[in-house]
Amino acid sequence: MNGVAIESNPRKIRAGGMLVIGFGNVLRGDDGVGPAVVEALERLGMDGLQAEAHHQLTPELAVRLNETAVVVFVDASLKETEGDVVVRELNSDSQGGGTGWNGHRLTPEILLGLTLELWGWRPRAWCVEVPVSELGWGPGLTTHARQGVQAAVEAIRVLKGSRECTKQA
Amino acid sequence: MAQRIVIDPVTRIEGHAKITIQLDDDGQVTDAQFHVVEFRGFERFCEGRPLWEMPGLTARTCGICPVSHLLASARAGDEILAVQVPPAADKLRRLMNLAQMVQSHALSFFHLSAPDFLMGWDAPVEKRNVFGLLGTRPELVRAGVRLRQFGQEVIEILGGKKVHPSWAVPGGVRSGLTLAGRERIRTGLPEAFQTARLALRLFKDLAGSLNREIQIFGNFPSLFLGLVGPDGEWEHHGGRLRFMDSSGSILVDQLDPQNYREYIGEAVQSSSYLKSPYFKPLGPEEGMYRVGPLARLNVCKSMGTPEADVELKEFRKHSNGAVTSSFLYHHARLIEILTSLERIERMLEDPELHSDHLRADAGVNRLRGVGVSEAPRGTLFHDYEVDRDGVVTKVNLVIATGQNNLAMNRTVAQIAKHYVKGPHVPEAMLNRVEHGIRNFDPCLSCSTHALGQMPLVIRLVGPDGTVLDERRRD
Amino acid sequence: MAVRTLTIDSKQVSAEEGTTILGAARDAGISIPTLCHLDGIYDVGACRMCLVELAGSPRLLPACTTMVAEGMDVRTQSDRLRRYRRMILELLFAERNHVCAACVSNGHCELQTMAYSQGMDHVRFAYQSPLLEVDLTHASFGMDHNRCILCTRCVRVCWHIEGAGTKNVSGRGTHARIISDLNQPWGMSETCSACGKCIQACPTGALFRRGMTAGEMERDRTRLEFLVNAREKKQWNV
Repeated sequence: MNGVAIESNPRKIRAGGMLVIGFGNVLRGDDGVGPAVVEALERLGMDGLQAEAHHQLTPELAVRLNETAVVVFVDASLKETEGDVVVRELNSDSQGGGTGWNGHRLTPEILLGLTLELWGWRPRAWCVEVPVSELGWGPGLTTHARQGVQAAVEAIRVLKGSRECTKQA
Repeated sequence: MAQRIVIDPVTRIEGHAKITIQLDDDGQVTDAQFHVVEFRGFERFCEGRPLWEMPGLTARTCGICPVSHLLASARAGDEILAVQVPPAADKLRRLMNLAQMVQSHALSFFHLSAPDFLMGWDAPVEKRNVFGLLGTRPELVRAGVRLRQFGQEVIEILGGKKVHPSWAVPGGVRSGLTLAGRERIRTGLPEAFQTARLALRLFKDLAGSLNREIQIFGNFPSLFLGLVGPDGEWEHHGGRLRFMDSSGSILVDQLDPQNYREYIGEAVQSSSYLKSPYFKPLGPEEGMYRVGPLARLNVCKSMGTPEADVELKEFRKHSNGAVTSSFLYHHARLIEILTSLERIERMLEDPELHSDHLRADAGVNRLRGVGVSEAPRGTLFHDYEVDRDGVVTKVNLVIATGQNNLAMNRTVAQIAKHYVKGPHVPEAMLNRVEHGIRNFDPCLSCSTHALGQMPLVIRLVGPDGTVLDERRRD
Repeated sequence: MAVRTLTIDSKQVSAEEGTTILGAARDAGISIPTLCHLDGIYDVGACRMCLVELAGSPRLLPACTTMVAEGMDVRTQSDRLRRYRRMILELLFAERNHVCAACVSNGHCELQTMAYSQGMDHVRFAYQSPLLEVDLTHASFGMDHNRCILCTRCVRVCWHIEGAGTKNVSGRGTHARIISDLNQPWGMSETCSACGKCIQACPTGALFRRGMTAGEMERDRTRLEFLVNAREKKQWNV
C-alpha cells in the first residue's frame, strides 16, 4: 500500500508559488519516476505550481531556486520504506553528502546550499521520495513505480494545499 | 599475507566506478584500471525502433551531454538518408554544439576542478568542493553558474524546453532561430566572454605552481584524435578525423568518419564493462589515444578565431610536440570556451541562421551511417545499421569516456606510482587519483542516481589477486 | 422523420429517430468522452469510453451505438461512469507499450488527452509489455503496434471512405492486431492506395507518416468528414 508519511518541521513562512523538480533518467526504468510525476502534475495543471523534469540536478538550477518560494524535489528511492512515499522537509540541517568524486550529480541538499551561499537565501524545500524497484535499461515504469507516482502527486497536492507547507520562512 | 579490507561496493544495480591498482611482490605499482558503467544497455533497446526516433531517444541517455548524442545521432541519420543538410540547419546544429561546449566546460572547470587547485590537494575532502570555493571565491562560483546558464539558454532558445530531445532530426533541424532569440544570445555574450577570460587568467597564473601536477597527473605519450576542418583548423561538428602522435606528427588525416573502423578497433577487456577503443594500426597496447579538449587542441592547426589562437600559441609552449599532460585538459577546456564564444558571436551576424529551409527529405538510401560530433569530453560516434525500411537493426556508440579509458588507466597508474608505497591506499593518494580522473571530466551520467552518488571504489590488488586495501569515495 | 424526446443529464432533448445518444447529446451541447468514434464514419462501440447510464437498465450502454428512444433518461456523468472510464484507460495503457516521450503523437494524442481529462493518474493493472513490431515497409507510412489501441478507425476509414479494404483486424483478445490485406507487410499490400486516410484517423501514434519524429505527428480529422459529406450529401463546404 502506498501511504503518505509527512515528516514536518513547521516554521513561520512567507507565501509564494511552488516549483516541483522531478529528476531521474527516463531511460533507466523506474529512475524516471521523478519526471513521470512532473508529467502527471502537468496533466492536472494546478494553479501556482510549476513542474520541471530534469535528468539530474545541475548547478544552474540554483538560479531557478532563487526565483521560487517553495521547491519540491521528486526522486526515486530504493530505500526500504514499505512502499510508502516519504516526504521530508529539507531544512538547513539536512545531510546531503559531498558533490561526489566526479561531481556531475548534485543532491537537493547541495543545490539548496549552493542557492543559499550564492544569494544568501533559499526557498523552503521538500523532497518526495518515491519507492521504486527496477532500474534496468529502457523507458517505462514498473507497476510499483506507477503507484508511487499517484501517491507522490497526492503528497504534492497535500503540500500545495497546506498553508503551513507553502508559506515561506 | 597482508590484511584484506573489503568494503562491498553496493548494490542492486551496476553503476559504480572502480579503480584497481595492481602491485608486484615488492609493493610497487605495475598497472591500474579504471572501470565504469556499461553503455551497451542503451544500444540494445534502440534496436527495432524507427531511425527517425533515434535522436530523441539517444539524447536522453545522458543528462550532462544530451546535445552531443542528439547531434551525432542526427548526423548518422543524414548519412543513412544520404542527404545534404540545408546550410542553415548545419549552422544551427553547430551553434547548439558550441553552446553545449560552453555549458559543459563551465561545469567541469568552475564547479568540479577549480576547487581542487584553489583549495589545495591536501585540503580535507569536505573543503575541496564548490562550497569550500564559495567560502573563498564566491564571485568565481557565481560567474561559473552564470556562464553555464548562458550555454543552457542558447540551447533552449534553439531547441525549446519541450521539444529539445528531438530538435535535430535526420536531414536537418525542426525549427530555426528567431530574431528575438538572436538578440537574447547577443545580450548574454559580453558577460560570458568576461568569465572565460577571467578563468583563463586564473588558470595561467596558477599553472606556475602546478608544475608537479602537470608532470605527474597523466603525463605520457599517446595518440590524439579529433575532428579538423578542411585546412586542419579546430572543428567540432562536421569535418574529418585526424590522428596525431605525441611528437606532433599526423598519422591519419582527413579520414571520413564513415570509415572510422578502418583505424579504430574496440578491445573488450574482460575485467571492464567498457569497450576500450584503440588505433588499429598500432594494436591495443601502443594504439592508446586520447580524445577531448586536449586532443582537439593538439590535432588542430589553429583555433580559427583570433583570441583563442593567441591562447593556443601560448598553450603550445608547454611542449615541442603535442601537449601530453592530461592535467592540461583544464587549460584546453578554457580555450575551447573562448573559441566557442567567439564563434557564437561571429555566427550571430549570419542572416542565413533565420532561413526556413531547415530539413532535407529522403528515404533510406544507405543501410549504414556513422554520425560523428565532438562532444565536450571528446569525439562521439553513433554507428547505426538499418534495414531497407529504416528500422534500426544495430547500434554502436563509441563514447569519449570509453576512448579515454586506456589513458585514464595510465593516469591513475602514474599517480599511484608516485603516492603508493606499500599495501595501503593513503588519503593523499585518493584525492589525487580522483583529480586524475577528473582531468578527463568523464561523464557517467548514463547510469541511475537512485542510490545517491555513484561511488568510486579504489582497490589495491597484490600479485596473486588478493585485495590488499580498498577505499570508497562517495 | 419522427422526433423523439428524452432526458440527458436532466436536460430535455429532442432528436430525430435513428440518432445515437452520442449524437443527441452533442447536439444538445453535452459532451461524452469517446476514443473509437470518428465523425464521418459509422460507430462500432469498440472502446467503451462513451458508456452511459440509462434509467431502468442495470447495464451501461455505449452512447455511440445506442439509438435514442422516446422517454429515455440518460446520465453521462456519475462516479460509476468515471470509475469505468478510468479503468478502460488504465487497461489500454497496460495492454501495450505507450511511451509518450518518444512518441510521434506526443502532445497531439487522443489517448494521452483522454487520460489527462479523465484524471487517470495511475494504472492499477500489471503492464503486459508485449514484444510488438514496427512496420515501416510502406513507402509513405509506418505502423507501430506498440501504440495501437485497436479502435479500428483505420479499418473503417479504409473500407467505408476509401473503399480499398486494406486494413483488417486479425486474432482475438491480446493477439488482436491491425493487419494489411492477408497479414502481410504493409508495403507489400496490393490493395493499399496510399491515400493516407488511416493516418488522419488514428487517435494515437500507431499510424504515422514516415520520417516523423517525437511530437511531430499532427492530424486533420475534419478532412475525413469533409469527404463523406461531399460524397453522400453533395456538400463541398470548406
